[in-house]
Amino acid sequence: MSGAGRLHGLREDLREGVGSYLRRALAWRWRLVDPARLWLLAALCLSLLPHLGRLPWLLILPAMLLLAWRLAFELRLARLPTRGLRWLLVGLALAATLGSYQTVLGRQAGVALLVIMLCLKLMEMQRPRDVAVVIGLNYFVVITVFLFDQSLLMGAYMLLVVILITTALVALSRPGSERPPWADLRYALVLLAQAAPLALLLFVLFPRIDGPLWHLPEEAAGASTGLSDSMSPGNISRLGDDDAVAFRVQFDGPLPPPGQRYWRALALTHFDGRRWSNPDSAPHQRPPARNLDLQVNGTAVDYTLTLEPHQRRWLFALDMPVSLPRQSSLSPDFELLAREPVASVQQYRLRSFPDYRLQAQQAPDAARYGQLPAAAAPRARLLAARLWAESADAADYVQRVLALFRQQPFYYTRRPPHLADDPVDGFLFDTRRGYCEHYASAFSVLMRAAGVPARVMTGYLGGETNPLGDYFMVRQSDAHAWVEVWLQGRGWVRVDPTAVIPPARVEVDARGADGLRIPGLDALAGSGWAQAVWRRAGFAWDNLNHYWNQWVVGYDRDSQATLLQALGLGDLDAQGLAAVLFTALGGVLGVLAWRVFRRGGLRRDPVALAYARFCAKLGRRGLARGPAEGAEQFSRRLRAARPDLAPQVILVTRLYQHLRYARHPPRDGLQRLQAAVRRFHP
Amino acid sequence: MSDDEKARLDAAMAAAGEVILGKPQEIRLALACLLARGHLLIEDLPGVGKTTLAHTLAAVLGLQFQRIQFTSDLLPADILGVAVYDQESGRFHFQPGPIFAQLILADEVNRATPKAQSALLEAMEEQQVSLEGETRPLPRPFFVIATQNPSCQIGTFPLPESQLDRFTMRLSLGYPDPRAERALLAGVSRRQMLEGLAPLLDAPSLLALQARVDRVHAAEALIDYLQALIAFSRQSPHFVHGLSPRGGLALLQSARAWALLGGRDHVTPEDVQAVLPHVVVHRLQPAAEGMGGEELVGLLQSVPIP
Repeated sequence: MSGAGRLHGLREDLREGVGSYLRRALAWRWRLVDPARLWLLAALCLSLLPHLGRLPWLLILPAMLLLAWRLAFELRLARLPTRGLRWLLVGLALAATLGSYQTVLGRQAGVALLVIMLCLKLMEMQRPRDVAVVIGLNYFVVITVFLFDQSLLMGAYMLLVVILITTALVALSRPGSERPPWADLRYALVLLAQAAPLALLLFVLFPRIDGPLWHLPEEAAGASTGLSDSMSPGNISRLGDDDAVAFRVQFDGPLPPPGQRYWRALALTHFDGRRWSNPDSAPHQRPPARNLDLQVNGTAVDYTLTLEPHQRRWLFALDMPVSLPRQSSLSPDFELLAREPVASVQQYRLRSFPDYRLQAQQAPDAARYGQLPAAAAPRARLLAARLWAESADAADYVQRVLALFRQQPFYYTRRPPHLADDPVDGFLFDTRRGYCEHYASAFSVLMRAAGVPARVMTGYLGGETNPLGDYFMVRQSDAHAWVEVWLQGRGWVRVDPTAVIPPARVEVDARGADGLRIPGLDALAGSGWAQAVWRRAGFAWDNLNHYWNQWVVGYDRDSQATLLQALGLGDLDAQGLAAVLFTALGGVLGVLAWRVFRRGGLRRDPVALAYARFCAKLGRRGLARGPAEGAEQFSRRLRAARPDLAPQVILVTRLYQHLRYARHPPRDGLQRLQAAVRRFHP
Repeated sequence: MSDDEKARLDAAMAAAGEVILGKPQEIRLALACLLARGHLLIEDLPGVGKTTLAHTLAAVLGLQFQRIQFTSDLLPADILGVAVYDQESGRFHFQPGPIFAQLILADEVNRATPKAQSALLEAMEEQQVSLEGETRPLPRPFFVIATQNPSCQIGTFPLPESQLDRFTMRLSLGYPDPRAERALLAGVSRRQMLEGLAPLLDAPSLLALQARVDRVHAAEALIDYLQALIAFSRQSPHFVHGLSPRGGLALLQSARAWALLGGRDHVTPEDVQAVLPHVVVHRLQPAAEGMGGEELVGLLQSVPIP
């Protein structure tokens, strides 16, 4: 045998030997592990899973190592660190947290610290008391997960984790391993099921407060989704692929016609040649509007909007809102702005009038709404000058520009060519292929070049009804940009230059027309049963999410007030509500506790319960059983006192004694006992 | 338990009842104690039939019988046996003492010195005799009935509590009631009756019955009751000490035997209550002076059945 071959053989032997050693070692070691700790480790791993993506590797790796260490200890394969090493580890963990976040406070850093310290606590978990502490902290970890994600899926997952933690708690309080492991699981499920009504009661009745429970400073820096606070070529079309729901709407009355489903968000007034933005910088610094001149006609549209968290301050409303949600304000450009970034699902009621006149009386600030960078779009300026010269007035000019888009070979596409130099001129004269932001930008520039006040509006257009849920859903892919121009005597008028492109010049890409929600074009959507089933499943899932958002996440003070009104408790304030709630809870728990104490424990055995009922019936006839009186002895006494009852007494006593004390009680004995007790009328 | 065994047990108890008049309960308890693999202590005045009871039981159960009269000069060798030098063979050879029998009557056990007492008690506990480096098993079944005279304590060595605990049950026979007494006075001599008794059981069937006692079912609910009783004895201020684990086991095993004698394959709280006074009272020490066994039992009998 060659040297290499021998080495190979040796390695094989070693591998086999190690493998079988591990198998044998683990086989008996698993049996040593305290089930409570095993449940706890499993629950801990699963509860940390959602945090993994949020934590830096500097903390994830140690956390996983510590968990593995603990498991190895439980399997008697490793020792726990000494006190000195533990202190060192705590110091390192603190340093790693500080190094990653520069703080140990706040949502991200706080959770990271909690996670790593909890894993370190495993290194000194010795007595049942320590296990109980870790179990309590694990429940807290579950809460922290909801600081980041309150979706239905996460809720279901965390319910699973809570079941596991509770199982660990049950196993901890019932030491010994004679039970099958699922006995504790079943016990935990029963406990949680019993706690569910209480939790529901607390959820519904516990006084709600406005806004988030605590202020989370980093939230503004958190990943935001959806629209951004500025618009440049390409940043709305990137949303075209995003099927995520931006918000859901329930209309009180009929749906507004498709042409009026413009959900306004931001007005962009400043153009730098490429990018549209708002010169008032951050939205929350914009001054609230004063003396808004809005006249409305026609019928109002009332609706409830359930907004997915997007970490921004703006809210969405159908043109034009006349009411304000709580904790929000209206900017001079008619943007709805929340006081805090939307970090969790929010629900608000709105009233809008599709027929409106906005600031018809007073001409807007020409410097603000006519601003153009000096060097921007020279060719567009020339075009504007020519068209303006041909126009009778501003309204005519708007029509002429729209006619230009309609008649010239302008194409609507989600994959527009890249525009290097001057995006407006490049789009208008060279490529002529663009997404809504190209049209809105070019149109606004043409308006401003001719002296017509204009602003770019961003928001969403359209949406679709969920046929399974009677609500309307608006997706990120419905993001849109359009223009508002100010016309003498009519005020701000919405103009959507994209809408004038004839369908023939709309490019449908591989995904169908999903990316495009121009009114009337939905018919282009693909067909086929698989797609239909997929769509339907999507609707069903969204419907579920909608109810989750509406009734669980979006259950706020308003919803609570409505519900309390319906229950006839509308007059209660928060204190009154809390008082009622805790009085009721205390009363119920007090009665339960009294019953438990009086009986010296819960009597759950149905056999004992049936016999107790039998004794209670006799007790009412003055034939009470002494607490220490055996059933047979009691039976003899009864037969002496009431010979007429003898057959029934003998039957009940025999069944009871057999069911309670015999090795193999009769199979239908319990039913017979219960029936006999029911029929027993002394 | 087969009907045949039950019939033979009942017959044995009935036959013993013919001789020991008016004491069916005590006969039954003694038999239960035997079936529970325990030993019996009878504490009573002389002449109430302690010896007759032992004789009768040995006769109807078909067991070898030995009586050891304990006196103050009794030596352990008088109980266990002795090695005798055989001059013919030139070797020591073991001469078994009276303990090598299936049913022993240790009469007036408190008259002997503690040394002799402990020889008996050790043999009872170990079921074997160790002498001069050799271990000799005792016959099976092995059942000791020890008697004590409670009133005449001069020159005696009463068994300490620790040794009382070795006896599964303690009985007292008491005077017969007038009717039984009359029958006793009018009837033939007990000694004659004893000679006429035919064995109704034998050692193998008794061993089988002892094994059957182990299989009598004690349900969770019954264990709960036993634990309530034990916990009460340990927590109650009326007792100096609570029941020992051996006491608890003896109570359960006696209740099992009692259930078997009643023809059942499971224990009920009534079984426990029936044997309770005889199993428990000699193991408990009342905290208050002058508290009798009756009151003590009354306390325990008032523990609620869960």
